[in-house]
Amino acid sequence: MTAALTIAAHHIRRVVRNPGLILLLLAIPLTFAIIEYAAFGRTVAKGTLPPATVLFLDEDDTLVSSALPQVFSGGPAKDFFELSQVQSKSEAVRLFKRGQAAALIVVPSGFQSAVLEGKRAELGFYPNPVQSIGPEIARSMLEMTALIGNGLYAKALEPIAQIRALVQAEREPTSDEVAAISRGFFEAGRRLSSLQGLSGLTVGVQRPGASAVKTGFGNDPGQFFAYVFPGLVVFGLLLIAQALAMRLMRDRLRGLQRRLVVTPVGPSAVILGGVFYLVAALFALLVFLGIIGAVVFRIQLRDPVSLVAIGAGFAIFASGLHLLSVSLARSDRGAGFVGSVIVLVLSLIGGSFVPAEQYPPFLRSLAVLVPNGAAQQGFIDVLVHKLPLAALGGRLAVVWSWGLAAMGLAVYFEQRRLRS
Amino acid sequence: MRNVLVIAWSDIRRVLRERESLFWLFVGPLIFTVFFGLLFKPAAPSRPALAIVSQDAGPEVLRAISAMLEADGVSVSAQEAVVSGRTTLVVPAGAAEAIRAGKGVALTLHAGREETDGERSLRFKIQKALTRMYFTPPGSTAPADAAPIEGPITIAEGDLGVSRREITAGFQRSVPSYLVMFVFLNLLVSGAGIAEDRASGRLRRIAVAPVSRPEIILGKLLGRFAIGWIQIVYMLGFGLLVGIRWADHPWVFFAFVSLFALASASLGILLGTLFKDPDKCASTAVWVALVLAPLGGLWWPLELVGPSMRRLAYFTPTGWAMEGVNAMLAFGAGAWDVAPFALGFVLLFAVSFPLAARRLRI
Repeated sequence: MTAALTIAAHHIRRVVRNPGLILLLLAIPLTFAIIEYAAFGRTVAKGTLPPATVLFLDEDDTLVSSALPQVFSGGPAKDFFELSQVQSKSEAVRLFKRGQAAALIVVPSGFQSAVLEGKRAELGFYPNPVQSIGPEIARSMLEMTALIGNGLYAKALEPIAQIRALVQAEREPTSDEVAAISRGFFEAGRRLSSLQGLSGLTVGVQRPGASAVKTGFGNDPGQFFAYVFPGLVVFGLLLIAQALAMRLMRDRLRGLQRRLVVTPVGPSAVILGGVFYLVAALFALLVFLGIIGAVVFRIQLRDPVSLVAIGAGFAIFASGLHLLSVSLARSDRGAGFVGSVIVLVLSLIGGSFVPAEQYPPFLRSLAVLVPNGAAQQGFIDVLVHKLPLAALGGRLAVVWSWGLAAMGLAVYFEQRRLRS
Repeated sequence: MRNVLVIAWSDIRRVLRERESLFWLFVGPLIFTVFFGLLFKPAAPSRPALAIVSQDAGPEVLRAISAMLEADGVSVSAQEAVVSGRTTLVVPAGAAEAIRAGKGVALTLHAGREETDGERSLRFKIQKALTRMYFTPPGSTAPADAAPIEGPITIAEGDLGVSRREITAGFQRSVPSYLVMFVFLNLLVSGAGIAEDRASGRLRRIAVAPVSRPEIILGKLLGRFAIGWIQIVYMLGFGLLVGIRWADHPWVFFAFVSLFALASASLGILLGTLFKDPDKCASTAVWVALVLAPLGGLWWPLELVGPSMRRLAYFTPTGWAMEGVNAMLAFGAGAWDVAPFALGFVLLFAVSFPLAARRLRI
């Protein structure tokens, strides 16, 4: 055992002396986490989608047309839209082609006159064919605006129409008709002067597990990272395990392993030394990434026992997997090839690149049966869903079963190879 | 010239003999393209479903909202209570009376953990129905049905003379995205071959042959460029196989992605001259490619991210490539439309290649 620990310590010292490659690989999960936060942080962290950019072309240049943009840029709609004025349709086409706008709204010349005269006043709506989400929402908003405009107009027109009818009939109004017309004007005036009732018609969103409206992951970036960081860490550890195992492969190709085996320490100590080195290094790096997560990304590392239980299981699996591929491969290229393919397939299935929640049901159930998927979901269960250790039995069973199986096979094949 | 071709051909043969290279040239891109193409395949348009729980005394609001939402393409069902996991709208007690009195009323939509585009669209439709109800309140003489309110303001929908193509989902998105990503990734990682050639003494052995230094570097570039071409043709072929619609100007498209491959190859060689250790070079290349891929909009459509990230894409070669490719696939853009991005590749090549040639230590 002492010999194995000495060998492991020696391997680790070599990594510490030349850490460039490992630091590069460590940068992958950290960089991805930052990119994902920059891309979706303000939106996903709040549980909401980004605002849609709507272009506005005012060909009318009147009081009514200049009021229209405020519907999109002010009030409750301001969180959903970003309004940008354009000078021509060709400018809009250019922005459409760059994917920088969801839709164009055109207020044509003569719009205000048509509205005031009660004639057909047409607003132009041009959705961007490249985008799918923004145009539909912009269309709804514009339809709502037309509804409000027409609704207010209709309220004012009702008493006007009654007067017109009386004038056309060339008769004196009855006292009831006078009262109705007065009431109509009063109502229209009241509604036109104050849209409080309308602005008070709201649709709040209640999300699961939240007492307050509009929660999602909350406004806490730590929650966002607690959700995305575990998958990236698991992916990064698989890559790092491969790089660490490749050092053992190169030792073997250079004859170092053969020289060690012929010393009194024997093959078992050499194999165990490799196992200890890989598991200890991976676990230490996992802890390091956890600390980075807590300090930089403000992830609350709750329930350390559960995190250690999952992390240790996964470190054993990642070590076993790459030790196995190294022990079966004849060249470093072969080991690199097999390791890369396995890491790629596992990462795709396990949900390292896309959250498994977005997978179809079959793939979602498969995701938690692969060790990286189970570990990732286990970390999320602890950090986000705040599940206790007792509730993680299934995840732990998957991670540890894979870990022990991979490590067992790796040791078996390595022993067989060394003895042959 | 013959020496350049010999060096290039030697590099191509070496790449095509390595299983790992073959995997990342042909199998890996296919796995990614098929996986994400199927995962995000365009969903058939379906009516969004909404359950409504009315806590109001009368059925007026429930009926009115249901009628309006049904007319707006929403499948509505009345429920007694909120069911977990089902999008449900709760109409509070006193809603009809509040609307009748022109007062505000707060409805609650019980939704999923994070907002989806379907949910946002639904919210706007509900808000629209409420707006319509405000002007035709329950109990008023005007019926609160789904008929539009009469008035002078109408909406005329048109297009700006560009044809619509679906480029945000399925293979139509995954094939061009992963074409760009794997051309960039493989050519950047190919720089590790330069580091390996130097470390193994292969470069020295070539140098003692009767070849000039410019021939060596041109041969290395040509070999990598050819690998990029193989990747492009392979992905284009796969795209045709799965029936995606390509650009209206195929030769412009091919020239554009070829120029991208040339710039990527020279970047890869430059990277190879910066490292002694091939492993570190390859890892750095992977890291650079994987960072620039999402920044350039290869992993997710840029419409999903915020404005700052969208702007950032214009500073990355992957962003130039994807913007150009998108413009050609979505709008049938021609040479002039993508010229600014192509110019970016030319500049990148003009800077990185001489630098790589200067730095290359044999």
